[in-house]
Amino acid sequence: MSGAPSTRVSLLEVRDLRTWFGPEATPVRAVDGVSFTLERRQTVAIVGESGCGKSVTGLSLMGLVPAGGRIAGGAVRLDGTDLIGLDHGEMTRIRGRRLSMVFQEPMTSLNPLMTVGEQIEEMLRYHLSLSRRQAVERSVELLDAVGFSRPKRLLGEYPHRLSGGMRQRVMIAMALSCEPELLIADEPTTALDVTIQAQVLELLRRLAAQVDTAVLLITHDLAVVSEVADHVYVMYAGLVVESAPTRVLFSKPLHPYTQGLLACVTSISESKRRLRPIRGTVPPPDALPPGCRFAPRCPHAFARCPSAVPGLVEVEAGHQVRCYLHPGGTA
Amino acid sequence: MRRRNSNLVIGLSIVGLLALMTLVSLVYTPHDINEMHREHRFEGPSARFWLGTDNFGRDVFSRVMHGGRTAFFVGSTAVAIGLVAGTMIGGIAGYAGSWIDEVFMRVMDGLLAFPGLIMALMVIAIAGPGTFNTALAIGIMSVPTISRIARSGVLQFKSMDFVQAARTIGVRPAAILVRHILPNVVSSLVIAGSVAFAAAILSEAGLSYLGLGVQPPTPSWGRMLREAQGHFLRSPWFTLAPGFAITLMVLGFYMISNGVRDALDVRGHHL
Amino acid sequence: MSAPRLLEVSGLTKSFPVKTGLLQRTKGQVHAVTDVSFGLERGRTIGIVGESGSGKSTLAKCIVRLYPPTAGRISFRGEDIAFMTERRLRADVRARVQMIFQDPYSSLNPRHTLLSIVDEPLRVHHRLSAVERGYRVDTVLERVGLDPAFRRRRPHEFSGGQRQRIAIARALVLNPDLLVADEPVSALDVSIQAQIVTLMQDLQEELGLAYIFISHDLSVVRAIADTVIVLYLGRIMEVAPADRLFACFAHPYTEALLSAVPVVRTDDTKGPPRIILSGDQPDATDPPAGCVFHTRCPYARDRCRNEVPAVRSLPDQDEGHRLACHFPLTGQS
Repeated sequence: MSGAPSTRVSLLEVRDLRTWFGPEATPVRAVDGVSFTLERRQTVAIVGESGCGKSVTGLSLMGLVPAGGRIAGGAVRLDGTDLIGLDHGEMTRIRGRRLSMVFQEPMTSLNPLMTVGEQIEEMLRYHLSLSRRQAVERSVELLDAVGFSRPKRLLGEYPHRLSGGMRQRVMIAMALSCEPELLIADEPTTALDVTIQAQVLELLRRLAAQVDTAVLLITHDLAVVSEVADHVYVMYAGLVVESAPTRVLFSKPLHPYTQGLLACVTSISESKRRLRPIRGTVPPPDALPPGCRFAPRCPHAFARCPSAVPGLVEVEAGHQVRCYLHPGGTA
Repeated sequence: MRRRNSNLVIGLSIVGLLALMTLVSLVYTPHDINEMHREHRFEGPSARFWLGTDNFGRDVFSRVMHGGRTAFFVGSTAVAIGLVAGTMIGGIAGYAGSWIDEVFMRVMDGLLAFPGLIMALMVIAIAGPGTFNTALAIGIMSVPTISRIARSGVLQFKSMDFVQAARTIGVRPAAILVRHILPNVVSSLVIAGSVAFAAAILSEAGLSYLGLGVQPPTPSWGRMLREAQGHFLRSPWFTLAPGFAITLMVLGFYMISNGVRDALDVRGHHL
Repeated sequence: MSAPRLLEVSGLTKSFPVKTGLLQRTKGQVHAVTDVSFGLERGRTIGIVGESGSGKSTLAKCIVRLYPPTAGRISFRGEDIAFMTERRLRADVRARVQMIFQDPYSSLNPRHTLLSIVDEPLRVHHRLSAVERGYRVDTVLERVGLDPAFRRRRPHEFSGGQRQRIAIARALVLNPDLLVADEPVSALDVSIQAQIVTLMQDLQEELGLAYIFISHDLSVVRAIADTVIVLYLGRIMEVAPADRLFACFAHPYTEALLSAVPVVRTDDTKGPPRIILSGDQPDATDPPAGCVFHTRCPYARDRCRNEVPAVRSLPDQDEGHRLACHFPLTGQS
């Protein structure tokens, strides 16, 4: 690391990441060439439906590719260091310390036999080599920061005694314990009730400002994205199909898939009405259609679409789309 | 990805071979099982007597073959009794719940707390010794375990949405149990059944060894052991052959039960 | 005298005993649903919203009589089914009231084929030939958008959305009057949710079905319901025609719930300030005295802690808008 702030190295730079599953000869391309960047203090969202590859992307960044999968190509640079080449030990030191992750179901991510305090303290002592007393003090601060009114009492509780929202906040406190540069949150509020979701989203929003942590939010929920993210990447069948600053994406979506998704979103401000669903279903990653992967479901598909996968072109600064309807004359 | 299920393959091969041997015994044995070759007592294996001869000069291999019939008969009868009674009791207790469950399961607990052998001795004392009564006694011994397995399977599926859906459609309770729940419990019953089969073979051997099971002149592996025990040092073959047959059979069924469990685990992933 | 309403629920209460210890002594009661009343006309949709633990699933299961209620009346087509015997339910009610469950992976028997799943209600309720049943199954499969050629396939060969279509086909094959849908789209992807909601809307229009649509997702309920009930800890907080509820809610809980819902914004405007409720829902075995919401209500006063508010209509409003609050909010936008 050069240390010079003027070199403008992005916090996270993912280039052409490919995570494939199954046999070498006929791989299942769950993530098939995904690129994005994340700056310090930024909140970036990857949005898509199940099977689009968003979760596998998150796990690949953490070096936690599920069994049967492998990173088949690409680069993941955290502050300039490529994480893909790192060995197991180096990755373990980075994980939790500089890069941490929160999952959808906080119950399965917490050890049911250890108290909340023991789990946070373990993390702090492993990564930061704090003494026991320092670790306890820091744990109390962290639980306080994620909004618990009586953090000292919480240290002695076991996970099953907590509600879903409390567990998710404990997970976030643990993820933040070492002040990581990047927090990856995979569907962090999907299992929660709306009033609790509001608490957790508020917390995530505060983080970027207070703790200096960037957030990569992985979700299917466009409304959540619109509330917290600065920039959005829309994924479909292993590829980024559109990327834009949040306001631009929601006011001027260009890709037919993004438009379709937005038309499907129900809103509490619109009265009883007909939705306009996208026909068909997401293709399974082992049976992708030729050419543009959205073509079979696309209302605007034409002769060229099944010929080859369209490239991702920049139509205006910061707004990229992968569609033959937008050949991108300016780029 | 298909994983080779070696447990199931080996288990089925062992049991299949023993079953084949038993079937062959129906039409052919190398020697008459009761023919006494007085000049050949306590002989080791030879071309004429493959596994040697016993204290009366009878051919051990022929008797082991014939003993397979007893083993399979007692095993399958006992397992059939255990499965039918156990599934009915466990199924009804689990599905009906409330006091019916309480009564049935406390009775089963009582049975379970009773030492199996004493239980079997009681049945035999009442019904008299003999091959079928042995099977009956062993079958009754397996009822508590099988009914517990059936009950827990039923409880697991009873609360599932598809069972609730069947109720809202108006399917009768008996039909729900038979059409919707039991087919899903069959796999664990198959596992329980093969374990019970192995246990039945051992119990039969034990009872016959004590002289309470299968009666002479029907050959049984357990009784062969009993007859051989006084001559072990003089003629180990005579003891080892039925002992080995019992071991193989029990091992075979345990491997089948493990194999079935593995096979279901693999499928469980994409259910 | 006009024909009775399709469904009239009054004073419905359901509590479950909490049993502990060796002797299974009843230690207390979980008050899952308390004194819930509402009515539903043919061809209309009532939406029930609430967070987990609000008792909405229990309410659904009482209405389809998977559970017997503890007290109250459930009048269906003019007849009280609340305590009807299982035998009479099967004869008179089951075919007319059907249910759709949240998880289409557990609501279909994994060992049955598509055909035997959709065919089963016909076998139970009608004496029809196999040919006639096959014809009716094919018709309903096509109606819900499934290819009858798949009739030999088993549930695991279908996607989540297709499975929910199978569940709808099974519910429809008997031509019911009322469909109770418990979180029918919550387990599905956004684009598939829209497909299922649209399908349900089409079916309602064609067949005159009435729906009870239960969801934790207020925006989905907004898209489909005519009337919305807001439940909290098993009690009705507020009921109103959908448009009215979302615009002129008067209960503080409804206010907090609506303000918590994330909204897609296309510009930089901000919505009304978010009300973050503190803490979690109280334990349903020991609900708070007075108004059950007072422990989290930002406006709670002494009266709320002591006196249970009745569900009543507002003095100057129409009868369709009722709420349980001593101090209703006024002057909503």
